[in-house]
Amino acid sequence: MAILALVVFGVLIFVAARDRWPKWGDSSDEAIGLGPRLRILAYSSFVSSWGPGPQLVELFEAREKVRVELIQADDAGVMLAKLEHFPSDLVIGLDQFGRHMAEFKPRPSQGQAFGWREIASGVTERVPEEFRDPRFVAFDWAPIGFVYREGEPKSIPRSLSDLQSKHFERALLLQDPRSSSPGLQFLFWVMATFGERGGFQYLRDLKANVFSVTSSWSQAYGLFTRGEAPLVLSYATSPIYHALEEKDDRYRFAWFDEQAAGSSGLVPEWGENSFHPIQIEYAAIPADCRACEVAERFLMLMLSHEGQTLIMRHNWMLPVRREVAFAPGQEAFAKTFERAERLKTSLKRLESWPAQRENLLKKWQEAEL
Amino acid sequence: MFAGLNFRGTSVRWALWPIFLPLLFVLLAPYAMTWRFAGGRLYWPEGATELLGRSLLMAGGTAALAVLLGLILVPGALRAQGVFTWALILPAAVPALVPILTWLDLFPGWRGLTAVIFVQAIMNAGLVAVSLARGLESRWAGAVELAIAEGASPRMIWRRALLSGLSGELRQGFTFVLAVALTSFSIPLVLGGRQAINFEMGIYQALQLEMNWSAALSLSLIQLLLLVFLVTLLRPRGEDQMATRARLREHLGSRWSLALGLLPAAAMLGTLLARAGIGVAQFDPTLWRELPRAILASGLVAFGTSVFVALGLWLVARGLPDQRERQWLSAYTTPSAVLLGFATLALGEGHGFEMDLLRIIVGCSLMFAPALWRWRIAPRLAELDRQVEVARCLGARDSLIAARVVVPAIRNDLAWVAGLAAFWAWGDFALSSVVAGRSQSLALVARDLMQAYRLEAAALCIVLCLLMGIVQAAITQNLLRRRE
Amino acid sequence: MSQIRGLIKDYDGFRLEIPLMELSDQGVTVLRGPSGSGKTSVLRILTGLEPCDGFEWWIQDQGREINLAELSVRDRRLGVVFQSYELFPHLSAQQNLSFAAEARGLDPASTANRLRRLIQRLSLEPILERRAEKLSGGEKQRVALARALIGQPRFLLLDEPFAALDQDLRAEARQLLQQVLHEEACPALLVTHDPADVDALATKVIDIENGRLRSSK
Repeated sequence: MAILALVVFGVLIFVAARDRWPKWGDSSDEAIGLGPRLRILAYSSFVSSWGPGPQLVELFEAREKVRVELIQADDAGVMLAKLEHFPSDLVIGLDQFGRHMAEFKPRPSQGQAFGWREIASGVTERVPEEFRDPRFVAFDWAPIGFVYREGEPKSIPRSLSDLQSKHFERALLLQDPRSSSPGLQFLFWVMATFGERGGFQYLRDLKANVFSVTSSWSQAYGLFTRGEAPLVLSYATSPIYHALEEKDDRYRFAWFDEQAAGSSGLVPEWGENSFHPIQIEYAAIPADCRACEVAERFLMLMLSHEGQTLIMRHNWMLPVRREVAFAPGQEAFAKTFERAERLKTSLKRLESWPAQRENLLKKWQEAEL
Repeated sequence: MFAGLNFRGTSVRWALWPIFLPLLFVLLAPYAMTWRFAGGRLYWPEGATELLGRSLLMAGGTAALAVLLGLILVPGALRAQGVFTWALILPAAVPALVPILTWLDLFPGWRGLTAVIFVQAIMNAGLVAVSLARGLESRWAGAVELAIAEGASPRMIWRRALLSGLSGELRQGFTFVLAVALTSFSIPLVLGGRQAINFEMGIYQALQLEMNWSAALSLSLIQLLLLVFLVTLLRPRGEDQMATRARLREHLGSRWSLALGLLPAAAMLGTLLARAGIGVAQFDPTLWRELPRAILASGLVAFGTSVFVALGLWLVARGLPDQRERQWLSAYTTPSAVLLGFATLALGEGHGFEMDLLRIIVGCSLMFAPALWRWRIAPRLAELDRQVEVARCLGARDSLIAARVVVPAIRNDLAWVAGLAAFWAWGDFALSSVVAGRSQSLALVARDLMQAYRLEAAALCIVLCLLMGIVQAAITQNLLRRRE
Repeated sequence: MSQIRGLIKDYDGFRLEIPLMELSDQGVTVLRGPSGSGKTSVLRILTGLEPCDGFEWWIQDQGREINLAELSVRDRRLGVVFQSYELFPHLSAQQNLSFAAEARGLDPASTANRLRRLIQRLSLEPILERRAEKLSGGEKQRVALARALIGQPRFLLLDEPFAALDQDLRAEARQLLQQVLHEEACPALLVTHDPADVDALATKVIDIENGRLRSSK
C-alpha cells in the first residue's frame, strides 16, 4: 500500500513536471522540425534562464526556422569532454584557458587535438582586431580586478602592491585558481606583474590581508555582498549589475595603475600603463560540425547589435562591439567600456600564460595561501 | 543445499550468481564507461604516491577524531529521540557548502589540514554517536541494566564494559568516516591547503586542469583499491551478542552530551537563516516562473533516487544474506561525481526531460547507495547474522530467510536510507550539473542564480532545497516504515 | 551413542582438539567448561555453521548409520537454542514457531497437533500474539525451545540456555526442559558452565578445557 502510494505520488510529480518543461530548444514545432537542427554546447550561465542563451535561441528559431538544441556544461574541461557524447555544431563560452585546452589538449578518446573550423571572414570581421582569431570568435569580455562598496574599504587600492597595505588587513576575498576562472586570472596577473618568483613572494606577503580564498567566484561574491569583507576579486562589470538590477550605485571597481604603485595615495592619473587581466569569452565551431553554416549564422546573431545587447545585459560582460556599449540607454556599460578599452597592453602581457597553468597551479598549491 | 560449495567462506555461492553478476555489472559500469575517455590507458599517475599519503593522513585523522567526538556524544544520542536524532545526523547529511559556510562564519581564519579534519569530524560525530548508541541498545542493554542493578556507576560501566564491547561499532564508525573523508571534495578544496588534499581533488585536477582522463580514472581505481584494502583490514570481528533491549536512556543518557551534539546542526541552521533573510527581494519573475518546475523536477529526482536506492539495497540484502558475501560491497565506492556523470551519459542519446532525469536519478542512486549501505544496511545485516544462522539451523532456505527474517527486519532501515537518499538528491549539483542538459532541479537553479549575481535568492533556494528534502525524506520514510 | 570424530581446528591463538567424543542417544549430554574453553566452537561446528575439515558425526537414523557432517546445515535437522535465544524480534511468538515449521517444510495440518501440544506444555498461549522483542527472558526461552523442537530434530543443541534468566527462574526452566525432552524423546547436548545445570539435567557429562576433553562420567 505504502509503495503504491509512493508510485502514484511519483507519477503525479512526473506528469506535472513534464508539463512545465520549457518548450524552447526541443519543441517539435512542424515548421522548425523541417529544417536542420543546430546543436549548441554552452556553459551553464549562458544556458540558464537568467543568461542570454534562451532568448538568443528563441530569436534564432523564429527567424531562421531552425531547431536549436541548447545543452549546458559546467566548465571548459567538462564541456570539451561532453563534445564526445554530444557532437555539437557550436561551442560557446571558452575563456582563454578553455581555449588553450581546446587548441592544445588531446581529445579524450582520440589522443589528438580537437579540430576547429575556420570561421567565415564575414563573421570574424565583426570582432575588433585585438580580439580577432580565425577559429575562436570572441563575443564578450571584461577586465578583472577588485570590487568594493563606496565607503567600506579604508582606502581604495590602486595597484597590486597597494593590496599589501595594512589598510586591507583581512579585507580581500580571493578565489582558488584551481577551481575558479577569475582566481586563475588573478594568479596570472600577479605572475605577469612580479614574475614567478616575486609573484609567489607577493602572495605569501598578501596572506594576512586575505579574508578567504573560496572555491568559486559566487562564494566569494556572496561573502562580499553580505559585508563579510570589503574587497572582492570580480569583474569590472559587476557594479553595473547592482546599479541596473538593484538600483544600488554604491558598488565600484578599483581600476589599477601599476605605475602609480606606492605613490602618494592620491587617485592616480589613469593611463596606458594600467594593467588588469581581461577575461574574454569565445565561441567556436568544431571541425566535425554538421550544421556548420547554421552555426555561423548563430554566431552572426550573437555578434549583431541585438545579440550583443542581450549578451551584455544577461551575461553582465562587455560587448565586443563598441557601438553596442555606447548605444543610447546603456550608459553604465559605456563608462566601463571606455576605461576598459584602454587596457590593450594587458592582453599582450597575459598572452603567454595559459600554457604555464599546470605548473603555476602546482606551485600555488604548495604556497598554501 | 549450498554447503558443499561454501568452503573456506571466501567464495560466492553459485546460487547467488544471478544476483551477484548483475550487481557486479552495475557497480563496475561507471568505471567501464569512463574507460572510453581514458583511451583504455591506466597507469600510476605522477603525484599519486603523495596523494596516497596525504589522503590517508587527512582521512585517518578525520575518522579518529570523529570516533572520539562520537564517543563523547553517545550519552546524548541515547537521550535523543525523534527529531533530535535527525538533528544529530543532519550535519553529516547536508550538502558540504552548509558546513563550509558555517565554519567560515565561526572561524574565518582557521584553514588548512586541521580545519578540514575538524569540520569533517564534527560533521560526522553525531552520526557515529547515533550508530554507537544503536549498537549499545541492541546488544548491551541487558548487561548494562544488570550492572546498574548491581550498583555499578555509569562511569564504571562506560570505562569497563562498553568501550571494549563497542569495538565493533567503533571500527565500523571509523571505517565509515574514513570512506567519507577519502572521497570528500568541497571541504578540502575550500578549507584545506597543500596538506589537505585527497584523491577526489587529484581526480578533479586531472580532469579540469589537464583533461587527463586516464590519470583521473587511474586515480579513481587506486582510491577504490585503497578503500577495499582499508575496509577489509578494519572489518569487525564476530562478537557475542546480547539481544535484550531495554531503556538505556535513563541510565546512561545525558542531556549535556545531547546539547553538545545538537550544536553543529544549530550553528548551520543559524548560518542558513541569516543568509536566507533578504533572498526574497531578489525573486524576479523568471525565478517565480522557474520555481514550480524546478521543485517538481527535484521532487521527482529525489523520489526516483529513493526508490532506486531502497530497491537496490533491498535486492542486495535479500540476495546476499551472508556476511562474507557482503563484505566486499562495503569497500565499494563509485568514482567521483564527474566521472560518474559521464558514465551515465552512456545511458542514451539526447538531453530530453526524461533522459536527463533518468541519468541524474541513476547517477545519484549509484553515488549515494554505497555510503548508505556502509552506514546503515551493512551494520544492520551484520546484527542479523545470528538470526540468519538460527534460521538456517531450523532448516530454512535462503529465500525463506530473506523473505521472513532479513527483509522485514531491515525494512525500517530501508525506509531510513530511502529518506536520506531523497534528502541528498534534493541538494545534489555536483553530479547533475555534469549530467543535465539544462537546469531542471532546484539545486541547479540555485547555481544559475549564483552565477547571475542573485546570491541571496540562491541562498534561499538552497534553504528551500534542504527544507523540501527534509519533508520528502520524512514522507518517504513514513510511507515505507513498518507499522507497529 | 552417537560418535563425533576429528573435531580439530586451529583458531587464532587457540586450538580445538577433540579426536573423539561420544554423545548419549537419550537424555542430556552436558558439555561443561569455563568460558573460552571451546564449547561454543564445538556447537557451531556441530550445527555446520562453522566448517571443520575431517570432522565426522555418526548417528543412528532409522536403523542406518549416517554422517551428519556430510550434510548441509539444513539437512542435519538439528534443533538449536542459543544463549540469547535469537528469536526473530519482529515476529510474534506464534510466527516464530510457524517459521520453524515452514522452514522444515512441514505440512501445517500435520504439525497442528504437535504445535498445540508444545504450546500447552510450555504454557505459551497467553503470549502467542506478542512480538518476540516484547517477551520476558523466561518467555523467550520457552518460545525458543518450542521453536527448536517443532521440526522434530534428530538432536537438540542447547547453548547455555539458562544463562540469561534470573536465578529463581532457572530451576523452574530446568525442570520444564527435562520434562519436555523426555516427552519428545529427543537427545540433547547442553553446553554450560553452571554446575546446577549438570546436577539437574545430565545423563552424561563431558568436561572441556583449553579445547581438549578432560574426562567423561
